[in-house]
Amino acid sequence: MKKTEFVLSDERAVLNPVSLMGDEKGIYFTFRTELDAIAQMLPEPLEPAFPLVSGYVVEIHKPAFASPYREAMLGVYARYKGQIGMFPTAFLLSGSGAEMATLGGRERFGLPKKMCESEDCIRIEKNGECMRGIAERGGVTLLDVSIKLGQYNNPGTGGIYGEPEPGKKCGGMSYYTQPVMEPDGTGFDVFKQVNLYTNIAEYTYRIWNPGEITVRLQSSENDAWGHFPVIENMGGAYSENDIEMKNLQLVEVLPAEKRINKLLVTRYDRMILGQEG
Amino acid sequence: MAFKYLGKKGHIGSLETKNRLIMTAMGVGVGTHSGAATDEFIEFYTQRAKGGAGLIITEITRVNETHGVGEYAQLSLAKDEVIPSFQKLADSVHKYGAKIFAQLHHPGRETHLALNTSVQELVSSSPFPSIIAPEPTRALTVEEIHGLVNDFASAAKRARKAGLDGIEVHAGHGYLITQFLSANDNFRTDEYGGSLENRMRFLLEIIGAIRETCGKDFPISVRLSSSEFLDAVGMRSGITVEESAKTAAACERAGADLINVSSGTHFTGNTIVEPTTYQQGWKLPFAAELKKAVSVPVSATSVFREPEFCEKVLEDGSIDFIAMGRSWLADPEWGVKALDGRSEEIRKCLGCMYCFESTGNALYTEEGHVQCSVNPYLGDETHYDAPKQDGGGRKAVVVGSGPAGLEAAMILAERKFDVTLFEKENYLGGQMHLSSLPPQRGKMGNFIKYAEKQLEKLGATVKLDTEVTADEIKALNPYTVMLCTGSVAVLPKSIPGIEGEQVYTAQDVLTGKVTFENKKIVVAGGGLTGMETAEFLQEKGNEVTDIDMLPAMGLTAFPLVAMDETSRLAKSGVRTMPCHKLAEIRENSVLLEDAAGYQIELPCDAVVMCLGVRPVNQLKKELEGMDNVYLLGDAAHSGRRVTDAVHAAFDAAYHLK
Repeated sequence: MKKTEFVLSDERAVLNPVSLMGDEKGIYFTFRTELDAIAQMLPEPLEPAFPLVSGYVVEIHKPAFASPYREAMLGVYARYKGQIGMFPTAFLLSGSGAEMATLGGRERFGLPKKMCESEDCIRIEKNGECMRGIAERGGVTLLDVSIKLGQYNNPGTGGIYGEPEPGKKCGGMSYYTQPVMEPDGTGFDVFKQVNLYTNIAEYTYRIWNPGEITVRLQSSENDAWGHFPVIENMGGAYSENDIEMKNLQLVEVLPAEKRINKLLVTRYDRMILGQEG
Repeated sequence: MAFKYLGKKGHIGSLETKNRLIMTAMGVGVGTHSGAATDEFIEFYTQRAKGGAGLIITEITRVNETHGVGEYAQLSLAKDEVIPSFQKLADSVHKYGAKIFAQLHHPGRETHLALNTSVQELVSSSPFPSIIAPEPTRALTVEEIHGLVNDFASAAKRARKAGLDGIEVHAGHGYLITQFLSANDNFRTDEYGGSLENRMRFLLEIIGAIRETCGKDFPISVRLSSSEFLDAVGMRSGITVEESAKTAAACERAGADLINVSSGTHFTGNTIVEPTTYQQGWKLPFAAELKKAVSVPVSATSVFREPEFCEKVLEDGSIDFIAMGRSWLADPEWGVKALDGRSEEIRKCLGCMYCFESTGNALYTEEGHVQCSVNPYLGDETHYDAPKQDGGGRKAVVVGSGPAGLEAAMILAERKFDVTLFEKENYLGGQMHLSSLPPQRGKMGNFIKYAEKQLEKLGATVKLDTEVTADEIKALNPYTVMLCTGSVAVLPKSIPGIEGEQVYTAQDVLTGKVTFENKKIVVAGGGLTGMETAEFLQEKGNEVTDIDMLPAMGLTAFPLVAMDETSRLAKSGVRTMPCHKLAEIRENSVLLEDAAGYQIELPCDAVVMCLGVRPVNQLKKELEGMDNVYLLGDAAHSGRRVTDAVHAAFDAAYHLK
């Protein structure tokens, strides 16, 4: 086994510039919710674009920056200066690569990632043409999505994803927010600003099998995944693909005031937020 | 005059109106693609003129035939050949002392290429498609804007030539002029974009051009949305009340004689045509803000239904005219009945949105037209006269007092039949009564109150708490029997546990037969009944989950109504679970099966079944051999809407030989 050195050479003192989630396999889904539920959690100046929530439960077998890991995500569609992009609202990770994927995601992109207690907290079960993806944390099933392969619940769902098919590349803009802390001079730290980033996520699909989905969400004392009411199960797919995140840009530095209150629960648990455990 | 303020003469510029009642523009689909005022239009508007409207504003009337078509069979003043038909319209309305304006309109991007077949792109202030119905859209050039200003002025000139009393410029509801006014839509960097002064330039140029073309004595009304109300759904409103007040003041300076206040944009359509849950007067505070900014009169819509409320609004001085749309659809005589002090005789709008739904069906063709759940005559004014009074005292029995039974009884009584209405419950209205019980649904009971009064006036006998038998009916020897016996909740025996003591129906819950507090309750069924019952239970302090096997909540309801209800459910905290079938009812839980066949168990204290209804019609068989026996409403086909029940009953009772 190679042993690392405490001090890196200047050339090696960088993070892997490639954010490639290679050989990602799992369930993708979209449901319709209330626009108001999206509006409540979006930090200004982001505005809700559509009353839709998309998410996934996947296994990432060949990430370029970590060991394999599993991940579940919920995201909404937001508008910024007329441009629509995905705003991920919460991630859960498990597996051997989860720690680095969580740290990398949070520190580089500001992604709201949390880790689960064990690898099995995120799992995908298969039963013939049906599959089920589950994400648990703190003993609560926050996400439970099933899919019956065949057709979308709502025929228009493919358009949301850019009509994926094997070999096709589909790209989309994303918005991320990075809370920035620093000491306030009295011995405590405060959130000074929120950086708003944009990024392009490029999917290269090997498999995209549409299906009829059923989404169940719940909140726990630390995680608010039940925030979005499920009004209509739109559809989803079982997919195998590679995702590369490209062209990260800082587009605006925002005051933390009136924004940070919407960004902490998806990053921290109750106790560190000073609430009772 | 029962209402001093409603009946007071009004003034709009140089025009005097006989009262303070305005019928606002509503697309009704009774025209042809030519845009002429057809006989159907003329009769539709004339009945409202006769019925007491002081000022009628026509439906959206296009000013441009190239990219300005908003509805296939709408009115048009974009060409000279329609002028004679508008002359007939004006003459007919004037016979009853009413005045009439044409509402001049351009949809901008809020239309469809299928209606504007000579162009490849819709037009707007900026090259962004509609959020609701996105189709390729381009920004108008400055030259085209100037051309459209002339189009509005030319259309106004035609209106004047036809003898109309004025025009209204439609600058609200998300259409083209709003697409200039709204900072959310207008991203231009020329003299028509940026500051409010620039964004309102198009509108002010239109008003100026009309004034110049038509002279000072031709009244101009401007319809404005006080706010887009996008903030209600978490977005920034590109038109705020503060800005609208400035726009209204600028319109007055440019020559407007009336500011007609509405609200909303296409993305917030429920603030334009409100579902039943919106309360009378909810928009008044916003209209009042605009009134403060101008010295010309202000009118406003605000779910007005009751003359007493309207009188108070005028007395308070927050606006100068009462503008109503759907109230005139439900009862063309709203005005004369109100002014005569016969408020209880007004057939009031329920807010059920069927008019909107039915008009939408007629958007692309000349087929179909607006319909009203409680007014079967609507849109068919040229086909139906008042019922013949030829009953001659023949006996008529109506069994059941849901909407079908009430309508049948009223028409038969109007025809001078000797009507007896039997109702087994101690209240009138059947399912309609139940639908008026959940929070904010009181307007659904308007029809029941109206019918009760009418039946009393017409001398019909109403027997509550009376479950009539076939033998009793036969003993009366009636000429006709109208069976409107309704329906009962479906309780599928295939569901294990369905006969458990913890299983109830919506009727049990809504009538108070059973009450819950601090309980976990599963409502099975995500249609309107299920959702409204879920909201009712949640408001009583319970923790409610509403499940449905269909992929969406409210899938079978009109989308705007469903949207209103799902929004209310979310706000009230009801958990919604579409794609879940009720597989089994257990003592303290239910077993649900999702679309992929996975089963989950949900703890609960009670289950309320709202999986639909089945007809109750055994009397039909028992009365076999009798003549003129009709099965109507839910008793004929389960799950019918109010409109289906009322219209079927109307047809049967009206056409009975």
